[in-house]
Amino acid sequence: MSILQVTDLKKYYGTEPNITKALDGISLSIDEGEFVAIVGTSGSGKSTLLNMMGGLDIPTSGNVKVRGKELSGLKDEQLTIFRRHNIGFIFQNYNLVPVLNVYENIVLPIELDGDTVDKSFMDDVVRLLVLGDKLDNMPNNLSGGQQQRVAIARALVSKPAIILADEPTGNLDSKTSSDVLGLLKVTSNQFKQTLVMITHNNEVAQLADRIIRIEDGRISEQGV
Amino acid sequence: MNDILFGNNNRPVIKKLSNRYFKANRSRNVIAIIAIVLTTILFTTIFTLGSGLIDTVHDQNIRKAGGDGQAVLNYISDNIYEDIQGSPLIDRIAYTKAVSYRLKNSGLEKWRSDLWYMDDTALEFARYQPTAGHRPEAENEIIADTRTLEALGIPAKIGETVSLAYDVKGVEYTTDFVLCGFWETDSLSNIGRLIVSKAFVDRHSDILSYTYPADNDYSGVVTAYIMFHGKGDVEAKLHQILSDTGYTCDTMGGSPKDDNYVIARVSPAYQSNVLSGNPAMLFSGIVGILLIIVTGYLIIYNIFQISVIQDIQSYGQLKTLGTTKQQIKKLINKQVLKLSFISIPIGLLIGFIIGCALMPFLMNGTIYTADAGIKVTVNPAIFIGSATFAFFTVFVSVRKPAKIAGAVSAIEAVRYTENSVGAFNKRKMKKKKGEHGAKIYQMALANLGRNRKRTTLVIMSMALSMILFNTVFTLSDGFDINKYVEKFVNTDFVISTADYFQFRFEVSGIDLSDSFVDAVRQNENFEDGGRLYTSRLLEESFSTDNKAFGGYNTDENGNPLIDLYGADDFLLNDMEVIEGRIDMEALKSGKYILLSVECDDDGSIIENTDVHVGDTVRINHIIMDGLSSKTEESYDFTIMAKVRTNENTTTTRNTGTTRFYLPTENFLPLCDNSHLVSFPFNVKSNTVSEMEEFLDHYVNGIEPNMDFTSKETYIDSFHDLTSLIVTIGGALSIIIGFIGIANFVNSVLTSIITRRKEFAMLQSIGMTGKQLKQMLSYEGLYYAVGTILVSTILGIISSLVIVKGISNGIWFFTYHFVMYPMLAVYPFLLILTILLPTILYRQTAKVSIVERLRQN
Repeated sequence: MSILQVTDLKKYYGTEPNITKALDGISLSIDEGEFVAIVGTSGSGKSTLLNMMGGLDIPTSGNVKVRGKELSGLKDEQLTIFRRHNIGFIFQNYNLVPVLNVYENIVLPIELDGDTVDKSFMDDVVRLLVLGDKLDNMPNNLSGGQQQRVAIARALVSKPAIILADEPTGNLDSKTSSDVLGLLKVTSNQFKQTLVMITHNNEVAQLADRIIRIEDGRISEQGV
Repeated sequence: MNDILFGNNNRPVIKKLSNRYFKANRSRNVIAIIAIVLTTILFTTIFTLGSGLIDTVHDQNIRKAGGDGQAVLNYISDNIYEDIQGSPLIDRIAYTKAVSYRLKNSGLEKWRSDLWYMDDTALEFARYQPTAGHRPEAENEIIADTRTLEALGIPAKIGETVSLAYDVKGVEYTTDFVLCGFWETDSLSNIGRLIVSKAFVDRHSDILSYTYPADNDYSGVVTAYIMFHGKGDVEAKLHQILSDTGYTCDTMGGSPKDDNYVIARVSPAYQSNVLSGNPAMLFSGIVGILLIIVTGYLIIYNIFQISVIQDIQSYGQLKTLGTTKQQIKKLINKQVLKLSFISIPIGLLIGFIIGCALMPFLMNGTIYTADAGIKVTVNPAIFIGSATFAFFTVFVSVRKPAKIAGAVSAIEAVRYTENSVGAFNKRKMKKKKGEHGAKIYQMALANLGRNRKRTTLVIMSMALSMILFNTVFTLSDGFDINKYVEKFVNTDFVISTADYFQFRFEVSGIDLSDSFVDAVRQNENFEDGGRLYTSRLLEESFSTDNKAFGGYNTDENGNPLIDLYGADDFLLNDMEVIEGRIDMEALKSGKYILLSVECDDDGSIIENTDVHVGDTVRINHIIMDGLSSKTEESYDFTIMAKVRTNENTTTTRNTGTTRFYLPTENFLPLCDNSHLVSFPFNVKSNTVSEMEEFLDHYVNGIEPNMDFTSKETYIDSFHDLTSLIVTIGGALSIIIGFIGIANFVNSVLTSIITRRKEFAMLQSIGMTGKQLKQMLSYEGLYYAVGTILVSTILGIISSLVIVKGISNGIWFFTYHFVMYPMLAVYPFLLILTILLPTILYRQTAKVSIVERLRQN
């Protein structure tokens, strides 16, 4: 069942004749529980696509549907709340809140919603990501790999419809990279979590169920 | 320029870098300019007030002294003048000669005016230059001040006839003069002048001979005002001149008995520096300057600290490229210099204007007056001084941030973010226990902890203005109107002659009339009052053989003269007993006497007599004849009590002599010729204005020689004083308050700017704009709470320690602990600190999340 549908998505910057077509008519569909890698070179438009899918950016035309809900119809505040419930982000540079400890960072999206934390789910996530003894630590006391594991936990814990990961291992060495990616795959499998990952690294992309290639704002290879 | 040792000239590149950094930091520049301008305003205001105070006091002292001149020789003869005038030390000397001190024209009872001759220099020194007409030349020409003409009922018009009746050495003359000029009466002067020509004085030199030592008559005496060459000790020069010409004066150890004695003194205007002569003023000035330095430091340091930290990565990069520590410091100092060059002149200008505007309030709080005109010269010292202090504050404040920028390690600077202070020290953030989750208010609190130093600085700088504000009100609140007024007049009204109120009781020819006293007594609002009697020094006096009562005047046997008063029960009952006890019945037996002790302003006794209750004093009755005296009968009294008396109700308002009091009935028989001095009285409650109206009417219509004073007059002057404190202190706390707010805005703004990316991330994971603003408002709230806590604690301490300490030195101060000014400001503080961050956030939130996320 499709959980995310992108239809003829376009994002243009500037005006004629100096127009930049970051995305030029992209359509794709992602099923529930699928692990998709979007691969492209720098400037191909893959980050723009990810931002559109996460409701962070507004397309010039076309639409994005998450769980059947069209994002273009939502106002800024509604979009934020929609994101809180349906999208989990993992960034290249972790983006943890420096003044919150590990535990607080992980539960932040739930707390923002005023919800209570699903204790047993939380414990599972923490155990899988081997963060059990780090919960009281502050982010700046953690290594890059540990910080990214916290970011993964944060994305998982609110059980979003879809996790969007933007070059999650871009800042990590290759050993840590494969550890983190391994954990990312294991956890998304375990929790049947839909995962869309952006990378320029083909090797990393091989981990995914499906690879979508983007070149100059268009899909060049859709995968199976 | 190429340097052999260092090889190259890198000045241009440092200049270029400095300029680029300067341009890149626009918002910092704006806030830094505001901060430096405000700091400079504070300095300039203080300096303008200080300099204006010195100038005005100097100017008013000159006017009060009756004219300029560093030294004055009084009551001298033409011969002495001739001897002295040639001295090479003298730059200019003014010559004046008294013609008559006793003008008989009606209209001059309440406005005293004297008849003089003054040479051109003297007219200039005294500022008696006619604003209309010319100086008197012909024998019948005269000039006068406008108020004198008004009192005489003569229109201020050239060519009017001025018909004067005057007394010279006991002989009355009448002369018709022609008015050839006049000038506006100085509001400070309490006597008027009529000035005749040299021709007149020369013509009548026979009757204007110098007889002062023999008959104490002023007619014919010469007064000389001297300006010396150059600066330096005026008194030393005066002594030099006198000793060169064979004369002596008091300060040279001479005595009136010496043949070569002259009355010579240094003019009060040149006597001492106003500030050094007024330690309280000097102290408040120094405290004010220190306070400004601290305030300025708190904000300017904070601004540059923040700015350096924001730019730290680029400073790190510069270091990797080989920029030295010194060069980076120079880079920052150049920017600071540029900011100072923009801000300080603006601050100087605004500060000067504010200072000039506040000047009248300051003057009204002193014994000098603003109504008489304020003199604030555009003294370069004001600007040089303020600019120096402002520069000093600025450079002290940026020293540390510049050092931080210079000391940054190239590698660590790149990794530096605000939270990990790692670039400068290795302190890691401690673990934070607990899994209570991430509540917005907790995040806000944690955010303030990111840069504790900055938070502290902002809180301190806001608290400072609160504390100052509270102090100002504690001071003005503590001024005790009752204590203040009591010191001046302790009865509702005092009536006496017009002369008495002009401090001329001794030379007045009239006494308070019984008719006036009776009229008051019969008034329905009158409650109770009492008469005060004494003798006049020129007719008779009293002395005591007890040398403990030292005095300037002595009788022929060298016994000090004293003031002996007879007072009604109403006045005696009002006297405050310091030692002993008043037993009215015993006092009236005639064996006892009351001794009044001298007190200073705060009422503490200046113990100068080694005489105690129970001691016997012998009082001699002296008959005066000119300057010679003759002792008549003597009486022995036992001192029953030492009392504290009120200068303005129970004396002749002349000072310097020991005072004794007897009941009226005991005093009158001792005197050949007693005089009624005054009649202090109280009215029934709430009838002060009715009585005032009655008295006003009486002294203007029925007995123009009489006059009165009331408590109300002093109540008004008290309000002037409290409004001084509130206005000047309030103005300063408002400016310091602005600095505190600017500091807060700067901190919040930069913290928002540096966290733009973090906010975008928070929004990307689902924090709404509302929640973000909520978090920022909490941060503001914590600043406010911190400020409230600090200002309350430090405010209480400063109130109890500093204000209480200062107030102990102010005699009319009753210390109360006061908190309400701070409490009144707190709500505004809360509103401001809660609203400002969200308003500031709105400015930055215009950029989309994606763009903010991309920023590095």
